[in-house]
Amino acid sequence: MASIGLSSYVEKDSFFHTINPLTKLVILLCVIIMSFTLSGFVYILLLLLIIIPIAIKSKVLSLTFKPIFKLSFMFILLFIIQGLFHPYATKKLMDLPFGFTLWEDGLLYAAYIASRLFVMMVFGYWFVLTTHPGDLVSSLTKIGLPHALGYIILTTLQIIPRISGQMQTIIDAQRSRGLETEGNLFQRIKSFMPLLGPLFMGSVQQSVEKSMALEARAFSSKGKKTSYRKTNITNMDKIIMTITIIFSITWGVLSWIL
Amino acid sequence: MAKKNSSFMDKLKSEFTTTALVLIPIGIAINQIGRLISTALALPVFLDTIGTVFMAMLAGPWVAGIGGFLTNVVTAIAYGRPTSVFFGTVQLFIGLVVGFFVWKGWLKKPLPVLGTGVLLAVTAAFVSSLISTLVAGGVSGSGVDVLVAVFLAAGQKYWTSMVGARIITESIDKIIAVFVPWLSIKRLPEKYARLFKYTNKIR
Repeated sequence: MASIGLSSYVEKDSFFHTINPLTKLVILLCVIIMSFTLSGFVYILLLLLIIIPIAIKSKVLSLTFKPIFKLSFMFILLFIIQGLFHPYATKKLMDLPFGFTLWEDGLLYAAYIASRLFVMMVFGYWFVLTTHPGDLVSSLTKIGLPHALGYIILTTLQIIPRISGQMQTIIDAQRSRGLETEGNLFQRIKSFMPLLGPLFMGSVQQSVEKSMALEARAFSSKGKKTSYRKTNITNMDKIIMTITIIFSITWGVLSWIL
Repeated sequence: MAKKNSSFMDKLKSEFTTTALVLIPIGIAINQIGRLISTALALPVFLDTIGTVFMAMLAGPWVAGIGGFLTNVVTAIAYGRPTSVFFGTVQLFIGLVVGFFVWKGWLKKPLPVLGTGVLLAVTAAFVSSLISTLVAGGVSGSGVDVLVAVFLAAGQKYWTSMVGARIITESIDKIIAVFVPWLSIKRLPEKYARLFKYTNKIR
C-alpha cells in the first residue's frame, strides 16, 4: 500500500481505530460547536474528562495532549492581550506598574478562549491520531463528498513531502551555483525568483502530465466510483453518534440553566 | 432566475477542468512549503499564499479560492488543528481577489501587480483580524501576536493594533507572494501556457 504522506495517524489496534471516521467526526463537530456555545470556561474544560478515557482506550493518551506545548506561547500572549487590553473591559482587578490595568472580565474572557482552543486542539489531535486519512475521505465520499474533492485532499497529503523534497534540492542546487541566500534583506528577497521559478515550471509540467494520466483512467467519467479502503456504519456507530448528540444538547442546555 | 442560476453553476463547473483540479494539490503544496524557503532565506515572512496566487493566475478566482481554502482543510487533517479551517477564509478571499484581477486583465504591467500586493495585505489583515478575534480572542499563534501586544502596550486602540500590526507584517509577504508567481508565469513556455485558461490574461 502507498504511504499516507503528511499525516499524524498512528497505527494502533484499538476500538476507536476501527469505528467509522464519521462517528469520530460527529464527536469532534459536537465538541467544536460546544466550545463555541457553552456559557463558561469550566463547562468547556470539563469536556477534557471525556477525552482522557477515550484516549486511553485508543492507546494514544500521551500523544493526544501534545498540542499543549505548541499552544503555551499563544496562551501567554492571549492572557496579556485580553487581560490588559480587553476592548470592552469594565471590572478592574488591580493596577500594575507603568499605568497598566489588569481587567477581571478580560482575564475571564482569555480563560474562555484558551479553554476553547485547548479542547478543540486536543479532540482534533485525537481525531487525526486515530483516523486514517484514506478512511476519512472514503467515508465522506459515501455520504456525498464529490470524489474530485476527496482526490484533492488525499493527493495533497501525498505530494507535500515530495514537493518539499524537490524544493530542498532546488535550494541546494542554486546555492552550489553561488546563489546568495545570505546578505541584506533586499538581496535575500531577490533570491526568491531563482528558487521558486524552477519549482513553478516543474509544477506546471507535472500537473499537465498528471491530468493526462488521470483522464486516461477515466477520472471525469460519470460512472460509479469505487474505493480501495472500505468503511461502513455499524449499529455501534449509530449508538455512539446518538449518545454524543444527546449528551451535547443536554450539556449545552445545562451550562446555560445552572 | 432559475435558469440564470443554473448557467452560473455550469460556468463554475467548467472552471474545474481536470488540469485545474490537478493544479490544486500542487498549489496547496506550494503554500505549505513557502515556510521552507523563508527559513532558508531567513526572512521574517510566512509566504503561505504563494500557491493560492499561483492557482489564481493559472486557473482563475474560483479554483484559487477553493484551493486556498482547502490548504487549511488539509492542514487541519494532517496536523489535527480544527482552528486552521476558520483561517481558510483568508486564503479564500486572497484567491478570489487575485483571480478577479487576473480575469479582468488588470495584471499585465508590474505597477498594478504591486498595487495588488498591497491590497492583498490589507484584505488579509482585515479578514484575519476578524477571524482571530472571533475564534481565538485576537491571537493567531504566530509572531504577529507579539507585534499586536506591542501596539496595544503603546496605547493604540484594539482594532487599530490588530489590523495595523498585520498590515505591516503582511505587506512584504503579499508583495513577494504576488510578484514571484507573476514573473514565473510570464516566462512560462507557450506550450504549457496555452493549456491554462487564464495565462493569456496576464501575458
